Amino acid sequence: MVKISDTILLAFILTGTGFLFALNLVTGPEKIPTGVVLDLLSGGTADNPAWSFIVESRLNRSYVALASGGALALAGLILQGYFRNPLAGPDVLGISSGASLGVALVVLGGLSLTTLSGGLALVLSGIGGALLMMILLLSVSRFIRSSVTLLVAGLMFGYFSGAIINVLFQLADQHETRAYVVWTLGSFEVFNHNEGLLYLCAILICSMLSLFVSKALNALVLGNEYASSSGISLGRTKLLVIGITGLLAGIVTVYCGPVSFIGVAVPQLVRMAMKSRNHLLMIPAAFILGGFLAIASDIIVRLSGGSLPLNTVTAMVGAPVIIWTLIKMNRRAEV
Amino acid sequence: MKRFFACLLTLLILGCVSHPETDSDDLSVFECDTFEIKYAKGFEVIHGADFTKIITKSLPDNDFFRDSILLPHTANLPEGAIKFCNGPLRRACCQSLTHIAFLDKLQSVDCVNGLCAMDYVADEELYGRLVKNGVEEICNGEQIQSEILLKLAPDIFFMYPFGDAMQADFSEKGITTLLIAEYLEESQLARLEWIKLFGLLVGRADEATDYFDKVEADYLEMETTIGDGSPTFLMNLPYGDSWFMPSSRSVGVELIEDAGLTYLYSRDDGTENVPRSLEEVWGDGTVADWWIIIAERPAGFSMADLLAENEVYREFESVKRGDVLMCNTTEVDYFAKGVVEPDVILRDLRFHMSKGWMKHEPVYFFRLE
Repeated sequence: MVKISDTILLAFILTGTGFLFALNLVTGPEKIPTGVVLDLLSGGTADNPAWSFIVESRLNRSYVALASGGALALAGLILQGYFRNPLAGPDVLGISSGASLGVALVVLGGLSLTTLSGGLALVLSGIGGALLMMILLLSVSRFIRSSVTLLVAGLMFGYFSGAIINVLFQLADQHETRAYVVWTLGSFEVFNHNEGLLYLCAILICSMLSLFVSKALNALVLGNEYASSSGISLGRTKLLVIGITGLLAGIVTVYCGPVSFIGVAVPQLVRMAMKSRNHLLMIPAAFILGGFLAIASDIIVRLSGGSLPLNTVTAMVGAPVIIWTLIKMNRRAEV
Repeated sequence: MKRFFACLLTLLILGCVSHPETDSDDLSVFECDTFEIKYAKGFEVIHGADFTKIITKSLPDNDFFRDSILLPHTANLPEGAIKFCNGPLRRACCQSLTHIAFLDKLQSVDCVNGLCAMDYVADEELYGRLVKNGVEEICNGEQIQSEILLKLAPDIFFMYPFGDAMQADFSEKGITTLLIAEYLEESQLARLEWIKLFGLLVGRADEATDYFDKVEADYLEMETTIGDGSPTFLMNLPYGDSWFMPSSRSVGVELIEDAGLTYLYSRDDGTENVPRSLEEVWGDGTVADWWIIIAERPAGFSMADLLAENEVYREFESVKRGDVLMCNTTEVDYFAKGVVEPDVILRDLRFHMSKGWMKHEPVYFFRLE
């Protein structure tokens, strides 16, 4: 049964995201009249030849931000549900670090990213890194009961990846290190229109798949035994969780850089705002709210003239939410 | 427990190491001619009867620092002179590749035995010579490797001024240091004038002055005054979501203005790079006549490679006219060797702007084809 307040909330978030999407198209350092933006979006032309590229770039950034923020929030929601830990997330558990290691192996290893083979290697390596980290984490989770200890294990995997990246960084030449540093700053400005559409499709397909784990996640809230007795296949759920979260976090990290905090903070905000604990509702809510925050961050990045990197902005938004969650968890433990 | 502390105490006492004192009895002396400093504000040379004193210092707008070293003419060092150079340099370590460029111009690069960022020396001939001379890398990233530096025992270690604590540490360990901040100077000729300081230290002050005078004359002869109708230019390439555009008072911009172009962002006062949004620069690119790029890209970087980075560049006026000049820092030592050859850079720019009437073989800037 869907609560009315949740329906209103969903509609509100959706409207807000739509508003921010439109705002991202018409605002920016370059003052382009709204009429001209609309004209360009409907296939018209403008006096300034650069404006069509600027508007196209704003459009690409908007839907890439929407998809990326949504994907990270979704990955975070699934991980938090599966591990039953509100601090789980792709960056906390080391999944984003695994993807970063995959990217570092290719970029700092000297493959040209402008070639098809280089680009393909980058995508496969990044996603492979994320999946590998997820598999490692799940393997370790069999021996660790405490979810907090598991988070620490995830952090350690992240540090280990970081150490390997540092070694690669020291060995790389200046072109490679420059490319890698730019990538680590994070950005939604990485696509031409066709690549952007491909990216959007990939994220949407993976996100749709997440609906298949909603029932299992609802059951897992009450524990593994309860889930098993409800007819949930724990093995199949584990595989789906590995696949979906690894793909979502891997794809976003490869294309946009390691975007932090959204994956941990947004599921918290969703839980805070929604009365329902049904993942069938929380999944779309997390996706839209993740997109909302990512577009808002992108607007700030663009209006700062790029002087604020994406990761800085998402940290400013996400870190207070996580601290608040920690305080709440601590209070609950005391009670 | 008592035994443990006793052992520890014994170990600490035995572990005290005595260091040799610096001895000024066995002093080699300098023969220094006086010279004039015309442009540089970051160093002074005081010529005394018994010694020449070199002072390096910060400029008014920068964090304060001051350093000095004595070059004795006689064995009588003034009282309290704690830092002196024992005769023209035989062994020197450098933290910047610019220091190497100065020494190379004075045919004194063979005195260098340690260097930071050696892999970044773009001049293959110079690199080969450094390798042949057994020059050692003394930095790991930004960190100076003290052990290697101590092993090399240079007569002097030329340092950036943003490592005051390190400088004190090296002094304690008996390494003579000198803070060098030629990059703070406000004009190309002022930067170049630091060659006189290096000339003094390697005992080639006359050669340094002659070289400076020659380059100065060439530069001033080619310098052009810009007017209202001068063609405009923008600079460089984006880095992530930002386009770091040099400010109007930056030395690089002033050099291009000396070639006769007007900077599109002349309203930005200051000397540091200002981050600009991609959108703003894309818009400005459609009107700027020239695009001067100083960036690090793979060797052989072409116009096709540039356009592959972003389609919007096709709409840039400079791209349409073919007036895109690039200094690819992978292939040329703009930031080091360029400091001692501002006349060559200026000639490069004038050559490209002359559209063929001037005879010159470009060294730093090439038109992207």
